[in-house]
Amino acid sequence: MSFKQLTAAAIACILMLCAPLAAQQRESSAQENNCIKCHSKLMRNFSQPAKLYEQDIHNSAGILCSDCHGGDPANERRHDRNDPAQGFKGKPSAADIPVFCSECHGDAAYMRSFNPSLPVDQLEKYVTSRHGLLLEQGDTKVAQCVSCHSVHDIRGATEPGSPVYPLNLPQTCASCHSDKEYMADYSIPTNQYEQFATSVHGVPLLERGDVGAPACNDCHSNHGAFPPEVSDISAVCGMCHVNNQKLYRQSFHSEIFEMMESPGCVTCHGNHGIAQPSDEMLAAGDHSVCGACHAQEADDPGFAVSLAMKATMDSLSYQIHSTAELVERAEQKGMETSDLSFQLRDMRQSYIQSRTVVHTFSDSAVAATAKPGLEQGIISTGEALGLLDEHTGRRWWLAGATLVLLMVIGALYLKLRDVESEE
Amino acid sequence: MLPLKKHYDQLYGWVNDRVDVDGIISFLKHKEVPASSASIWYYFGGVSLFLFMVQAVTGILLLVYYRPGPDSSFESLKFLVSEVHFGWLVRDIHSWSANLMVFCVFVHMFSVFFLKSYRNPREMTWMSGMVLLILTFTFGFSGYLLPWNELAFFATKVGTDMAGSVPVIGDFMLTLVRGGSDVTGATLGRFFGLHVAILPGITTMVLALHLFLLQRQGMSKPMSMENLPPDQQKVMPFLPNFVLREFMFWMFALAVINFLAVFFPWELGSKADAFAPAPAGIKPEWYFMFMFQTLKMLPAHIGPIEGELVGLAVFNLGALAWFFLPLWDKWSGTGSPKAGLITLMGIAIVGFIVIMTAVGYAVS
Amino acid sequence: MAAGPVGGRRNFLNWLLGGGAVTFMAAVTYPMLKFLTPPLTQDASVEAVSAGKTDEFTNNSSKIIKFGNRPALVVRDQKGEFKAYLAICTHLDCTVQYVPEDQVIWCACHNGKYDVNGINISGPPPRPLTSLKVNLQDDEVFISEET
Repeated sequence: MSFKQLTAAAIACILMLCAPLAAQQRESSAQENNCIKCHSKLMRNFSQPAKLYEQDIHNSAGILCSDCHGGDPANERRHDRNDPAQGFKGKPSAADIPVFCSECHGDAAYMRSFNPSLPVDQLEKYVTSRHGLLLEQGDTKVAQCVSCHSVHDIRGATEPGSPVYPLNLPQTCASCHSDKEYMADYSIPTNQYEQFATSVHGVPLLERGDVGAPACNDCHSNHGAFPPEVSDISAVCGMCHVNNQKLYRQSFHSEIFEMMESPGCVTCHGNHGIAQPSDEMLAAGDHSVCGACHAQEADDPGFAVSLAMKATMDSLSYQIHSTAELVERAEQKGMETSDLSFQLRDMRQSYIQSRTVVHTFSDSAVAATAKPGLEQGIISTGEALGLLDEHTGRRWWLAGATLVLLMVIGALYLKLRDVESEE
Repeated sequence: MLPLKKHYDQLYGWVNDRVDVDGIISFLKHKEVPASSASIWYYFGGVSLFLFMVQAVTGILLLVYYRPGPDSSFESLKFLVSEVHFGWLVRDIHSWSANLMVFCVFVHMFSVFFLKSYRNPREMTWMSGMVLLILTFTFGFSGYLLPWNELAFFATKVGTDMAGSVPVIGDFMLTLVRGGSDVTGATLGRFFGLHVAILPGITTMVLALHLFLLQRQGMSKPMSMENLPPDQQKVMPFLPNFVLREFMFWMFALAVINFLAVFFPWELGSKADAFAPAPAGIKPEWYFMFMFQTLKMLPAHIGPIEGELVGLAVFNLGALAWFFLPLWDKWSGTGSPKAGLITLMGIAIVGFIVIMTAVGYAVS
Repeated sequence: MAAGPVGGRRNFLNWLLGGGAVTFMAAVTYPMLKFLTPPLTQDASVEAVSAGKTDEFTNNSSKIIKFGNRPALVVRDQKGEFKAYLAICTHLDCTVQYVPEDQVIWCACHNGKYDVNGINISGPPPRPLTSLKVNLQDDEVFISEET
């Protein structure tokens, strides 16, 4: 080969090697989100969106700033957002946000390419919600997508870092609903979170992290947020409290409450500040819920039923306590109590069932449910006392043994005396 | 009845021909025990021996059902006291007899001290006795962990912590005792081996020595008797008088243990949980209480050294002095006025132990 | 041995002592022997508990038995396979039950549901039910702790 040919071949080789590199350059510039590059260097809060976006679930899905806000992500120079040719959509207004997000999130075919199991009816539900209805009327103070899901650092709803994750959701709702000043224009109370936090649902959720307990959305819906209709309340509670709902619906009380337009379960249990139910809710006293409507006299037939139910629950509760105490004593003394522990479990089961049956508002039904527990209690108490007796029965053994020893000591003493009398 | 006696005589004769049982019996028959007002103290040694035998027997019985291990110790004990016939009795006798034995051993030791029986030629008897005392404490400490309940676990933790505070070798000692850096199943394994094999073996040998010396040298005479002329020194034959009295004492001790077992039974407690916080008011067994309380009451620092360390050093040095007492006490029994000082020292020690034990319980 | 009243008394005392010794030995040996006799409940920990004969269970049926001091749920599924779990709901410890119509293990307290494999499928329960080992021996169903 001549020198010229060699040079040409060398250049060709070098070019061939460079080609993939060049291609790579072009490829990365196509994916590159130049918006972030500049916007993360802006001063003060202006840089926040760009900085936060790294954590956003949309970012992981490969969605760029431009996919929502328009513009050219490849552009390395400063842009003019007012220039229509550059295609910036800018920041949507509060009133426009639901539709804005739904452009993607309501499109089933589009969403299939990201997360096929994600629902696409959020907007549909939202327009029926109280927030949606007010927003339509022009009230921009109400919650829309961004208020709850945040923006630029949106996380999946099942991720613990998301503001709508069940453990965080009550605080998210409370950020508006507990703010008296913010809620001044509306005629609803602002103590829901306060009440919920100490309730039988709030404590496990917020303090123990038990996601089995309901958060706001479990009763109010999330996108279709609306307080349940009075007639629907028992259905909502009944999603978990199945038997209570069933029995309540079958009872005459549900008809009466409907007639009175009384809010079902909420009438006796409250809505947000639901306390751990106790037997004190029956019969007389400060905590009596029956007494809120019924005259607290034995003449009042309703109140009489309540008194009878309380009596049953009290006796069963007492039975369980006294048996448990005896069993514990026996166990501490070293007696074998696993059978008794098992029976106690059955008794407690009977107690829980009786409590549920209270919702029939029939004292005979409650008595019938509590009966096996009470009967078992009598048997178990007898057995526990037997074990303790067995323990005390050892004293008989002691008497016998001591007698034998005294006998031996006596014989020794007599022998000793005899031996010594010789000396 | 008569044929029975004939067979007995034949058997006796057969053995006697080979081992000279007659010789032993005649030795015992000639052995005499000083009879004085101080004689009552002589029984405490015998009772300690009896209680040791009770421990051995009940301990062997417990071994049939007890299964050592962090997952089985507590459960097997629970099974033993609730299901096994007389299981509660064997366990309670073992626990009470242990405490009574420590008490009797203390009384025995101090009575020997105050009667000055450790003087020439009985120095070895005293020192072997001190070894037995240490063995008794070790028996008590190791056995206490075996139920693997909360109380035992934490008492052992606190007790073994002391080992770690010794300078230089402290960490090594702690790891050796615990079988690791914390009290775990490994500790349980070690303590179990110690309690049922190592300690009984060593104790048997030392006890044999102690008893041999006792028999060889006879019971010492109290000093009050030594000053009397020989014909006024009252004695009683070992066999049968002393033995009969001793047996009476033993039966009485057994009756006391039975009473305690029935009216003050030992509880099972709850199973040890390493991650649970220590229950309030953890204290060691009563025979360690005076040491525990003293160490607690010492200031954090005495001069440049940690208070606890000073306390431990004092106890150890004191124990050493006490161990070698017969070798450095040249005054007791010689009529020297310094003898009174030794007695005073003993009274002070007993007083200290009693008071610190009482304080320990009062503050808890 | 001296004869006469003194000798007689001595003899009597010796017999009394001997008798006392024998009674003592008996009083010690009897509890010891009883102690060594193994009691009826053989073991400290619950080993295997029988849930009944295999033909007591039709397909798609269940039974709750006592397992130590806890309830155990024994289920025979549609295909005839035996499964066993601790019948203690992993939410708040209520006793669960098998619902053959829905082939689901259900907790009445808060409507928690588990499938036939004990996996929590609906409602508050955070974890599956604790599995127990099933052994079929001589047409009898035995339940024991999973090791």
